Formats: sequence, C-alpha cells, structure tokens
Amino acid sequence: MLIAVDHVSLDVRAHETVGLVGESGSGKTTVGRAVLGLAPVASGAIVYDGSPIHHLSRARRRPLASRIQVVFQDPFSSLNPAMCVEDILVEPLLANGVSATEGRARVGRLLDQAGLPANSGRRHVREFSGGQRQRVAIARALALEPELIVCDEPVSALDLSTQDRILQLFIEIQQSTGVAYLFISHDLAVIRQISHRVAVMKQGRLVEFGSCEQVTLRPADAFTEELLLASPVADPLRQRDRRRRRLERSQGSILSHASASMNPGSPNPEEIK
Amino acid sequence: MNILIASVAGAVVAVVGVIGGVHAAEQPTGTSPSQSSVVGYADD
Repeated sequence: MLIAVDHVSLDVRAHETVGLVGESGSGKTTVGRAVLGLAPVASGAIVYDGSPIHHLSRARRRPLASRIQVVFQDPFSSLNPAMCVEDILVEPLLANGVSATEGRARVGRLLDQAGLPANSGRRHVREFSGGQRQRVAIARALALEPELIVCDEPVSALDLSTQDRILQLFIEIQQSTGVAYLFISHDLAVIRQISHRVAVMKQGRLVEFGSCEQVTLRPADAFTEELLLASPVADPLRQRDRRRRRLERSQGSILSHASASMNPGSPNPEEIK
Repeated sequence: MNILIASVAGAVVAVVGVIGGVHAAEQPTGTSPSQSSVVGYADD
C-alpha cells in the first residue's frame, strides 16, 4: 500500500496563515486535498471548528463549501474558459442559495477585493493574463466568505513580479476579512513572505512545525536546513557559501550511503569526522 | 515519528495524526467529493 501522508498533525488558527512546505512528492498537496475532502483519510482525523469532517459524505460536506474554499495552482485549468468572469463568481453563490440579483450585486465587490477592474465581469478568462486569472480564482474563493482557504501552490505558475503582487493581495485580503490560509508551496521564499507558522514535510511526514521565524532562520531539522540552502539568495558571496555547504552535505550523504551499503557493519563517515 | 499533536481547541482546522492519500487501489469508493463540489458548484 502506498501512503502519501503518514501521521501528519498540524492546526490552522483563525486569521492565521500556516505555510506547508516540502519538496515535490512530500505529501503537502495531499494534506490540502484531505482537508478539502478530495483525498481519502485512512486514519486520524480532520477537525473543522471542533467537529470531525474527514468522514463526511458528499452531501453532508456541501454546506462546508461556504466555509472552506480553495485556490488551485494553475489558473489556466481551474477556471472555465467558456464562462465570463461574472458567471464564474456568481455560480458558487447560486449553488448556495443566493439569488441571481444578489449574486450579481456582489460581483463588483469581489472584483474590487481581488484588485480587478470593475468592467472585468463581462470578459472571459481567456482574455486575462496568468496573474489576472489567479485574481479571478481568488475572487471565486472569496465569494462565499470562507473562514479557511486552502491555497495549493497558488503563485507557482506566475512570474516573480506577479507572484509578489498576488502574495500581497492574499495578505491584504486576510487583513480585511480575517480569513485563515493553509498555504502550500515548495518555495521557502514564498512561504516566508506570507506565513505566520510553517510546517515542513518530507516523504509524507511532518519534520518541523513552528513559527515562521524559527523555522526559516533557526531550523531545528537538518532537512529544513537543506531546503533553506537550496533556496537561492541575491548576494553572490552568500550564494557561493550556500552552494558549498549544500555540496558538502550531499557528498557527506553519498559517502554515508556508499559506506553503509559496502560495509554494513562499518561506522558512518559522518560519525568519524 | 509524530512530532506534534495538533491543538484542536481554537483551531479553524486541525489535522490530527492523518494517514492519507493511500494508493488508488486502496481507496474506498464514492466518498470523495469532486473539485466542483468543493468550490460550491451544483454538481449533483
């Protein structure tokens, strides 16, 4: 049996952003999907506002849609290109019992919250850039005024300057609405910019969970330190030093593996140093 | 190693000791909602 997530525990408080970071395949997206009810939970619990939600049927989960929303990674595939922006924003409202008149009246406010021009409503998403499309996806997530948004790599598909503006938008929205984010990214620089607390995953397990400052400046786990070293910095001298330290670590690891496989009983080279 | 027991009290959402994302062959069928139902679309 292949398990993507193994004994992971974390919590997200009101008005808070918890960054979930890890290398590709570490299980961070699966945690987000489990919270959304999109990935099966074999054991453990997902508790929302005091009540377990991991076992809920599809029908019983529906009311939760207004409280837990999602922004996916790729705004090119997560939005219907055949629909205009207004229809995209109104659809979740209609599905949750809001009248069409009331729904359309809310569109202007949603566009404003997401930093889109007021006349965007009648345009199709195919007319927008990647950053603008992600703003539409964010506006859609905000339509039902959720308490929690699972953000699954929401800026990974965007260029660096657009990334920065979208991250700032997430921060401004949180300040004005109090929404909490479970923010998933493989990029520690992004996580550092937006998170209050950071959880680090490796091979399906949580290896570190703490304040953003502690995890990103004084990591307790060797893997977190490796992740930090893998993130490039703009200073060439510091970058050279980080590259050297990363190389030393990987050589040490290779030596250790080689020694262990050739001489199972011999001491680890790391221990000899 | 389970490094943290999530503090459920006061949390919007808590993930507690979750083992999940099991291989497709092991998944129970018919319990996972579609992406559209998470977003809130009428997909029934």
